[in-house]
Amino acid sequence: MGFEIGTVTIPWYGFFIVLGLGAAALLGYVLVKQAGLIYDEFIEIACFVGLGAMAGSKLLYLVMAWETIDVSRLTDLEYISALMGGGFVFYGGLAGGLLGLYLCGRLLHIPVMEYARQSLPVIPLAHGFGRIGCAFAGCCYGIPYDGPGAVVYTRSAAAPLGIPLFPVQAVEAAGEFVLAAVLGIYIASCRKGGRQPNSIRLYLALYAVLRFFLEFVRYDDSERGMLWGISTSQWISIGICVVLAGAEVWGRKSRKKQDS
Amino acid sequence: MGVASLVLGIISIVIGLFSTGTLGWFGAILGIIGIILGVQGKKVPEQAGLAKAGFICSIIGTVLCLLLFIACVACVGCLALAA
Repeated sequence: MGFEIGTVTIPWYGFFIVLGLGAAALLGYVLVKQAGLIYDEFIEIACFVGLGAMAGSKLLYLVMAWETIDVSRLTDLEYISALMGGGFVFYGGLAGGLLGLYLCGRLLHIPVMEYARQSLPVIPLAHGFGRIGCAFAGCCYGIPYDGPGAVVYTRSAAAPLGIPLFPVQAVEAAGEFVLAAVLGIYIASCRKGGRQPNSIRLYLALYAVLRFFLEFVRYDDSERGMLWGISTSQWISIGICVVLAGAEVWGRKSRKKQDS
Repeated sequence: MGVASLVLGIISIVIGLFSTGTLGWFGAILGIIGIILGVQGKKVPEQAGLAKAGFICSIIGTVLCLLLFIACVACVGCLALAA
């Protein structure tokens, strides 16, 4: 599930995450400079969001995999490291990242929402690279499928070997890159028109829809947690859409009240 | 801030190089905190040099730790837990 440099094996997922973070740092630099904001503050926010995302994605993973955790081995350093090293859930990371964003604003007195609105495309960009890492590692694999673009894993610790599978990781990566481009164009058009971009809502809505439908073509059900035939991520997607729709209706109502 | 950033950066590099991914999660956390302290330290002119060194070391340490330890849901985690 990786490549070797000398005697060291570099995991594909880690490699692509680092590549994604590098690309996100470069894109962030461009977006922050275009918006007339300070890059050092962007880095501080990214670090807070990163720490929150690590904690959140790990926590949700541990909650989902709690049945497999051996409490009697929690004093074993190797077991703790395996527990901490493997398994991250994106939606947990999103919640943790938002908490990190809030804490950064409170502790460092940075206008975090302005940075978030202007530089949001960095998240789908980095996430897209992570999905390419999944495709290489064979995790988060798709349903059995023998149409165009089907992938057959011959060496993977996660995916079933020798069976043609739907390339769901590559499709999600492509979707993430399109999402990053759409957000970038939207932010640029808002800047031109002198409007405040509402990129956070747009990103959450588009990603929730994308993720909801892609979950149907995933085959790693045992690792994701299912309830009434719907995965944890699909339930969260539904929740996000409901909250966003509620916020939109409430916003319109309060605007109408203000106008009248 | 500058000294703390440098210390955390060096520790994260050591963890990244020598723990072969075992303590990578811990090194990554230290590295990220080092980056925050480095940026904070750069704002103080007397600490700027040390803080810059700490900032760079922390970035290198974080990258090394993330490279070697991070795995996706359904990768190493489930297998390690099942073992």
